[in-house]
Amino acid sequence: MHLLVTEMRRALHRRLVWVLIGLALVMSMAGGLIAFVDSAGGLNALQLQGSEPHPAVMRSWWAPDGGDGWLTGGAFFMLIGGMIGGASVAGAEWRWGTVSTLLTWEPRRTRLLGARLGSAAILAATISFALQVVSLLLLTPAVLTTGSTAGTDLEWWLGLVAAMLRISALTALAAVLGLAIANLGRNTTAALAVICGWLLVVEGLIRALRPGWSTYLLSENLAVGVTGASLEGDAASPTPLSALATLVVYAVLPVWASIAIFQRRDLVA
Amino acid sequence: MSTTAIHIEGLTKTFRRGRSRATRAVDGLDLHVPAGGVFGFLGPNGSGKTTTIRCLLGLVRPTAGNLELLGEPVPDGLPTVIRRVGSIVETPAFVPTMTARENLRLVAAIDRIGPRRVDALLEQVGLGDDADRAVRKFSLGMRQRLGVATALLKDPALVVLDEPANGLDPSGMREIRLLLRALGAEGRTVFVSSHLLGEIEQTCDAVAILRHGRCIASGRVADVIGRADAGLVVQVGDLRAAARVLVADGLAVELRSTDLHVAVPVDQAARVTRLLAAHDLWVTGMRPDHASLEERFFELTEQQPTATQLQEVA
Repeated sequence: MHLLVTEMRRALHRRLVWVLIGLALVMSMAGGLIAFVDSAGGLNALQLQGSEPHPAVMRSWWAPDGGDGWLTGGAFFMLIGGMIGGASVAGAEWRWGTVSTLLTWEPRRTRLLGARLGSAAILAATISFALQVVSLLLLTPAVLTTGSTAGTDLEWWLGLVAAMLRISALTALAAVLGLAIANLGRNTTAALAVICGWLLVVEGLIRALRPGWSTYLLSENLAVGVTGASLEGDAASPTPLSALATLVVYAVLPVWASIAIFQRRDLVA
Repeated sequence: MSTTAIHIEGLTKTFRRGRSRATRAVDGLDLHVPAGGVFGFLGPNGSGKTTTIRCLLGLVRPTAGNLELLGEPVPDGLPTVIRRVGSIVETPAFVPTMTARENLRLVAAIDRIGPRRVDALLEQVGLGDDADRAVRKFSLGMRQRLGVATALLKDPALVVLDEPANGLDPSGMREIRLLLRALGAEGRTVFVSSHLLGEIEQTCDAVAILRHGRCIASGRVADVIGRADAGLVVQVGDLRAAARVLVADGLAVELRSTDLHVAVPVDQAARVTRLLAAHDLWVTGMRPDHASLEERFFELTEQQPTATQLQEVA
């Protein structure tokens, strides 16, 4: 537990983590302001019904049928931020050379890396949830003055909270992925290049050459994880349950490789 | 309590680079460090000192050999024993954006060590005034002091220090020397590797000298230097006459340009002075003729080519 707390404190000392949080806050404030200004002239009937999404209309924050919502769009940035933050935490420790120092205090490498992965997951999930709350709170002035709260019953609220929790969990997974890969390569930039290369190049090629395999692609499964429903108009889209299973495999493989290699690695510098 | 602080038997470490190239940094090293006192670990660059220390601390996996720290096998017993071992390896690394105090508190928290001990150690190593400055603004010497403070946080029975005086100015070196002596006098074992042979000679009770990954000499400093039977250096007005007198009395004498070397135990200095005085030859100077550790070190390590011994293993 002490190790977990220590690792969280170390991660929170990363300037990049605070830059990412700051960026998210600025984007949320900008979103709130734009929603307010944009809705000041009045919203049309489609927007007020929620058929045409607008952040000043509460029902647009989250679409229960898997459609686009304010949170869905924000989730993309959360996942990217989580990945960068996680990779940065591991990469920086290698760059600073503090891994050796830590191992002279906790020589059980699996335990140390486990604490680091755990702390990254907890922090990413907590920060993600908090930022979502702040982001939605910043939209409330627009909702309460010029927007609408129509159609937000208990079921909708529960769905909203579930969506926020799902996005938080996926941000944690992104942070763990980033950290595990950065720990393998001992470098933040290399880890981000690998992840971007995978998502943009490898998955792009698979999507083009083997459309049937898209069920197993990380981006597809993340999208299903965020919305909580199969993707509309995509017959090969995984179900939420299979997406969960696939995402677990995507997380476990790099974590396992990272731990296995960290166990055997000679720390000579 | 174990009477042995460090026990190394047949330690070999080969670093593989690619499929066909490998370098042997440590080659069948045997070493025994008794508990208590200050033990110097010497050797030229590339002789395997840091690799040995890294193996001891579980940072590098040995290719072969057995290691023990305070009676516990390494690496299996490390989780048990590490709480009694404080260490710094090469230049200590810290989170540069944190202050010295934050860095120390962060590692201290792993072992539930309180902030008071952190503050006391920062004072002890002379960083009290700089404790709240970011470590990235520290000089190498200041980082070294912070490293020493980190090593002492656990109140360790064994302190392993790799080049602790690296980057320190003369007064900093003196402080480290005094600190090491004090730690040794408290009954702790201090295992210190250094290039500063003068410092080691003044500080250590015993030393081991490494060359090409093997221990080529070890024991008490005086024994390693060979001080006991080194004889006396005598200065006298008429060197030739004095030499004749001493040789006539059965002593082995070497006539040198400015003095005589008399092969006699140091405790027989009075015999030499009496003998010369009886022949109206007055001694103007006399001192034990012992080699310094530095001289002995170079004598031992330069017997063979000094190039870093990193064996190429096909």
